[in-house]
Amino acid sequence: MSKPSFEENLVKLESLVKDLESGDKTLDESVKLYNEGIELAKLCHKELKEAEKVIVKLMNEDQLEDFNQE
Amino acid sequence: MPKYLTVSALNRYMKFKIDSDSELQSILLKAEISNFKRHSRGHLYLTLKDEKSQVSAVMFSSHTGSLNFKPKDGDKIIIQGYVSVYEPYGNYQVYITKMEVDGIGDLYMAYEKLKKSLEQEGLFKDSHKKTLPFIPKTVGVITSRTGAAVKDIINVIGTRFPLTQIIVYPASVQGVLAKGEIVNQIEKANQDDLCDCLIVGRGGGSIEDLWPFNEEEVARAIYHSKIPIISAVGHETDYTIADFVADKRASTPSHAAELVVPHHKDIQFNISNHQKRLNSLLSNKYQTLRSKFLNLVDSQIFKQPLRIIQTQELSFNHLYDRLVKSNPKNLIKQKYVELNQIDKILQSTYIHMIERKQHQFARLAENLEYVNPLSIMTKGYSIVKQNNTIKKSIVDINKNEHLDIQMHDGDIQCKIIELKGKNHE
Repeated sequence: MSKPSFEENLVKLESLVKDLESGDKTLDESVKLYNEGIELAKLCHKELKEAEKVIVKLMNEDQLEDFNQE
Repeated sequence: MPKYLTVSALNRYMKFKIDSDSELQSILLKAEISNFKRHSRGHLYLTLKDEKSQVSAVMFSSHTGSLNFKPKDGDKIIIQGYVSVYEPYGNYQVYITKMEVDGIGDLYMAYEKLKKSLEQEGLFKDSHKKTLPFIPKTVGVITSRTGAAVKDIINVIGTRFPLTQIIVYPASVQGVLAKGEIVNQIEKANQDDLCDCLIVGRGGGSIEDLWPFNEEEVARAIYHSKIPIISAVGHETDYTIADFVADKRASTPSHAAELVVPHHKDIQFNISNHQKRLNSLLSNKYQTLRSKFLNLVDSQIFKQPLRIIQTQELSFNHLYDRLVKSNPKNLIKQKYVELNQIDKILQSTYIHMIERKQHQFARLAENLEYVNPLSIMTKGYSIVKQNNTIKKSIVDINKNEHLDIQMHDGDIQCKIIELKGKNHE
């Protein structure tokens, strides 16, 4: 399975928060959800921070090449 | 001696005169095409005419790139250009820099007609419109690789959300080839399936420039795309058929880029909020559980365990009292006393009743003596019977049967001679 996308991670983070909000979890479960959520949040922040320049490709015939502006 | 000019000098002079006339250096002309010829090097030679006159014209290949139709004899056109003289032939001609089909009205009619028929067919229905992904991994951009549109889109996505990748699917966006190239690239992007959203469009231009986006083939390609498409054609005020059929219309290419990705700052804010929420939720959970625990530890049971026993003892004592009170021995004693009383009452009532009955009997016996028939019969009274029945009146007596007279000391059987009633006869 490929690495989950940024959006998938974000959606998962949201659902973890919702789960924890529901309040019917045991302390053990809550701690587990919390740890998982914090990890995901850190990962998302990190990915955003590291993405400096947008990657642009050109579909030339059937080949992906780097797109040169100008 | 008169001065003779050469032909060349005349033609040069004529060219000079015409070229120096600013009116002729920029003209707008309305005409019909005839004698259309395409030179092997790409220049176009043609004659412009109306009902009465004609003039020759040329369009050099350096200008034909902007053509959005294939000129042919009989086409009604409008042109921009200038007038000059072709010295070798001594004729003046029109040099065309821009040529368009005359009939913007016709284009507008075609637009309205297509829009109506596609709408009726259901190509614009909201129910068919696909939802754009919240954050696309890869956005496909179908536009000219050299235009301003692609630069704008790359800049805006790069600023807003650089995690999203861009694949440019180059296509002409004006001229005769544009329609086919745009359709091909939409289909190609669907086959490749590398993008989760497509932007199809171009920057601003004349209605002819934007025309490819009013073509039926382009509309159908957008409709059939499995990948959601944002149309981004021209400016705010330009509405093309592509805009109606696309899943989302952006007013400009930059606007399309804003629609397709969120701003990373918003997302960061969002994630930070989630983090805060997680922290407060867990700490709430802990606090709730802790205060529950403290309440339990603090409860009476743990503080004064004897209390429970005391309470139990109290209620036991109460029960015991009730039990003692309801001992059956007491009840028997009480019932015994009651029984004795009833017995006494019964005895005295019985004696009293016997005495009363004896007394009553004596009185009755006395009365009986008075009415004893036997004692009356000793005084001379007799009883008359017939057929063992006592007779009180002669009316009841049968004359033909014998009569029995009972006296106190014996019976007499007699025959009736005569019946003589007091009130008879």
